[in-house]
Amino acid sequence: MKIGSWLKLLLVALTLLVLQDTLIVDVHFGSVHPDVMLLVPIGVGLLVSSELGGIVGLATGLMVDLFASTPFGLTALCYVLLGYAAGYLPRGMWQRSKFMVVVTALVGSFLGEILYAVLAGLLGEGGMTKEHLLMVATVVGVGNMILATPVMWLVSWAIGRDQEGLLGLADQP
Amino acid sequence: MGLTSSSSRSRRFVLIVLVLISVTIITVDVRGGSNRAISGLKSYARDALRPVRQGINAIVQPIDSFFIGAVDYRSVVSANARLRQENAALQRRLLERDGAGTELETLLREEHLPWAKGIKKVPAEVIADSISNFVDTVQLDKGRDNGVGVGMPVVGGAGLIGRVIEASHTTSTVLLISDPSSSVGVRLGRGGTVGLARGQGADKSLKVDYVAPFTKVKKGEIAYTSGLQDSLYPPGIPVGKVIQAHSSTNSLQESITLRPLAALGQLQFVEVLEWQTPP
Repeated sequence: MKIGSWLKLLLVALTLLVLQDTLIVDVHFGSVHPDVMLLVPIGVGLLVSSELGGIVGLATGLMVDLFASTPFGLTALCYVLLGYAAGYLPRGMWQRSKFMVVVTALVGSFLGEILYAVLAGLLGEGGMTKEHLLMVATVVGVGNMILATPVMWLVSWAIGRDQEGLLGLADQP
Repeated sequence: MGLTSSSSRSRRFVLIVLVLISVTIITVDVRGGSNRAISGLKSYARDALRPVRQGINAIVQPIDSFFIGAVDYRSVVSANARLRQENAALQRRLLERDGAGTELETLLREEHLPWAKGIKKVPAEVIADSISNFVDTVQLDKGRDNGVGVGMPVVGGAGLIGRVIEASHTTSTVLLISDPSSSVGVRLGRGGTVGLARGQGADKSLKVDYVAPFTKVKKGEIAYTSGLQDSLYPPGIPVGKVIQAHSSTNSLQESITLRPLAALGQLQFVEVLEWQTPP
C-alpha cells in the first residue's frame, strides 16, 4: 500500500511536470506563468508532515531542475524548505476548510518565489529587479491559488489512507 | 514531553539532511561547470519529454482552435508566423539599404571584420518557453543531432535573439538577450562606439553600459554585435534600435536603451548560426 501511494505520488508529480512544461508555460501574464509543481510539496506537507513535505520537495524540485536552465538543485532546495514549512500548519486543514488551503497556496507560492530569488541571488544568479520579482511572486501566487484545488485533490488521492503513516513520517498524535 | 522532543529532533535531522543533499547537488553543478553527469541527465530528460510534448501539442492545438473560433486556426497561425518572419527580413533589408547597412559594411571593411552572412545556419522552431520564471529562455526543436552546439548564436526576424546554452540530441535551449544574465558587445552609430548591451528581463528593453558620457548617439540608430576579441557573437548582427540616449553631468556613462529588433516574445521560427567563439 505504501509503495502504491509512492507510485501514485510519482504519477501525479510526472503528470503535473508534463503539464507545466507543455501547457502551463503558455498560460502567462506579463511573461510570468504559474508554478504548479510548487504545490506538490506544499500539499504533501499540509496533508502528511514536514518531513514528507521536505522529501517530496527534494524529488519534485530535482524533476523541475532537469528542465530548467538554472543551477541544478536550486529548485529542489527551495521546494524542500517550502514543503517542510507547510508541515507546520494545522493538520486536517484540507478536510476542514478548502478556502484556507487555497489561501495557503497563494501565500506559500508567493513566499516560494521570493525564497527562490533570494537563493538564486546567493548563487550570483540574480539580476531581476524588485518590481519584476514582486510581479512574478504575485502572478505565481494567484495562478497557483486557482490551480490549488485540483492539485490538492490529486495529491490527496495519491496519498489516500496513508496520510496517517506514509513511510512512518506522519506527525505523532 | 520526551516523545515530542525526540520527534522534533527527528524533524530537524530530516530537514538538515535534505538541505545538505540539495546544497551538495548545487555545489557539484556550479563548481563542476558543465558537469557531464548532470548535463547528460538533463539531456536524456528533455529528449524523453519531446514526443510527449509533441503529442500534447497535437491534442491541445485543435482545442485552442475551437476556443479561438477560427475555422483553420493552425494554418492562420503558421501563415502569420511566416509573414512576421518575412516582414522582419524585409525590415532588415530596408535597414541595410537605408544606410545603416552601408554604414555597417564600411565599418566592417575598415575594421577588417568578417561578415556574418557567410555563416552556415540551422533553421529551427521554438517549441517551448522556459519552465522557470527566473530565466528568459526558449527551447528549440533542433539539437546536437542537427549540428546545434552550446555557444552558437541564434538569430531570427530582424536581429539577434540569443545563444544556445544547453543542447540535447533533439532539442536545445537558447538564453535570450533580454535575460538579466545576458550581455552582448555592441557597436553603435557611425562612430562605431562600443558598449555592452545587458538584458533587463522578459519584455524589457536592453541597457547599454560602458559608453562614455556625451558620446554622440542618436535615437533610432541600430546597434550591431561588435564581434570584438573573445566575443560570444560574430560581428554585424543587428541587436536593437536606440530608443533613448542621454547624458547627465553626474553620470559616468551615457544612458542608452535599446529595443531588441527581434520580437522576443513572439518567436516561432529562428536560425542557429554554426559559429563558435574563436579559440
